[in-house]
Amino acid sequence: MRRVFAKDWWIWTVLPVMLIALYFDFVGSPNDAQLGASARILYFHIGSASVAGIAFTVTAIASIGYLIQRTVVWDIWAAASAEIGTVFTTMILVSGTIWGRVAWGAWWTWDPRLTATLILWIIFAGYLLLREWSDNFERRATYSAIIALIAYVDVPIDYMTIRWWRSIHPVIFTNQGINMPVSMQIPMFLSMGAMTLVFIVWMAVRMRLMRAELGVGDLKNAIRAHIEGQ
Amino acid sequence: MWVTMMAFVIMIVFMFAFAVDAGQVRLSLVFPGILWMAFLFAGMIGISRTYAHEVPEDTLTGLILAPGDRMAIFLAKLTTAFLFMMGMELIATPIFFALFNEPWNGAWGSLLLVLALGALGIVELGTLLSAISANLKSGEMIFTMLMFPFEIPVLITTVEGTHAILSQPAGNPWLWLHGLMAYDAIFLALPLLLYDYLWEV
Amino acid sequence: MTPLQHEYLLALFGAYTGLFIIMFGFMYRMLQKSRKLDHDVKLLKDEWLGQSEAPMESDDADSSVMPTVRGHGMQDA
Repeated sequence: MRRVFAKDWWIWTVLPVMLIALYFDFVGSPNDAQLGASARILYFHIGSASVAGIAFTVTAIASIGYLIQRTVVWDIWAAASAEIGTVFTTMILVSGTIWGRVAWGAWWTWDPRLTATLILWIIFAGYLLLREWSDNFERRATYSAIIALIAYVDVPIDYMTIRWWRSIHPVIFTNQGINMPVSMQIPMFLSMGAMTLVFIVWMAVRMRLMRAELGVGDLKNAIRAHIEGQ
Repeated sequence: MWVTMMAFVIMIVFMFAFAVDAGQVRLSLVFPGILWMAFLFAGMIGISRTYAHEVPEDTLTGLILAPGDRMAIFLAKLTTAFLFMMGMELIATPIFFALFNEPWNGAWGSLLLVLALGALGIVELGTLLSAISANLKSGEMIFTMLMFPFEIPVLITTVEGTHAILSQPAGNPWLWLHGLMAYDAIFLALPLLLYDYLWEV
Repeated sequence: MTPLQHEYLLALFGAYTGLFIIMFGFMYRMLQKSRKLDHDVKLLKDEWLGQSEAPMESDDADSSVMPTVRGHGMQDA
């Protein structure tokens, strides 16, 4: 147990950073003028949303890389990133529904952005199921790369929904600058940064596990080939 | 494929006629939704078989080995599915109008346009996903899992567009139709780009 | 801010802290598992490499040496 902590010490340094960011989000920041204390969930919400966006972008890039080069590394990147992105999308949806219940008295409305996010979540759940259910490695990698690229169409649309259509989400990042007081920007960027660090760490851990699992598969195949060769 | 789709859509018409109580519900409000749900289900049943009957005899290998662009295979599959889908819609729509007593306001052109664009939207990704699922063990499950979320935009735009066309007085369906056209264009271009990679496995 | 609100916020902070601690717990489990898998693969590979060389050392498996185990009929001989 001590060796797991000692060898990968840098992974565990992210946890205190994240907790400091959470403390600033929930306790150390000022109340919102209209929404009061409930607006604090916004920092967590924006943080997970930016991480989900980054994660799905990484998946899309890695999928293009796989389709062009056909190397295992790209597939591992795409799969790990899609998993983490799906988890963070779940966190967006959950924190959003909780906040919606407090602020508007309704768990869910069919706002364009909510719809687009929900579609994204379902598609990537399907993507993960596709990966789970297929046995042939190359087929799985190719098909999931194609699905990821089709699914990625939804990400920029999701980002632009609040700019194209009238939505309940405020537009914070505009061409004229950031539409938010500085006292709220600090916790927001802090939690965005901390959650991006969490994403990086999680990617490292997940990819290491995937490589180890691939190692088991390689060994199995080598032994099977050897036995059949005899 | 053709027979399956036709039989299925007629079954759905009857099922919806029993499920929605005409005395309680204002049918004209739910009519577009019922129409497109039926088309989506029937389309999925039909399209999921597009590649399935290539597998038992392994005729797909022959198709892939044939000289010429592989894009032609995909476009041929797409066109066939689209024509089947369109034929099914053209026969089923009058039945829907008759059974649900939907008043007809004579907007031939725009209704035909919605039917064609909607069929195209359902068929495009359907053909690609069917090619993927034909080669997988639990392919039919995966086809359904992925097809529904991808078709949500088609369902929204066609239902709202149909609603605008059929309502009295007629509304403006063009906002929805433009969205549907954008969807059709994007998801026609993407499979054409990605289709080649599908066979290099 | 009333004291009650402050306590509520602290509770929220605690809840989210718990969430992230659980998340890192999962990461710890993943690291443990990947370490174990790497270790096992290495062990198995060594063992397998050792085994595949084994028949080469005892080359006399096909030679005509009499079995050393005595059968029933040979006890009286």
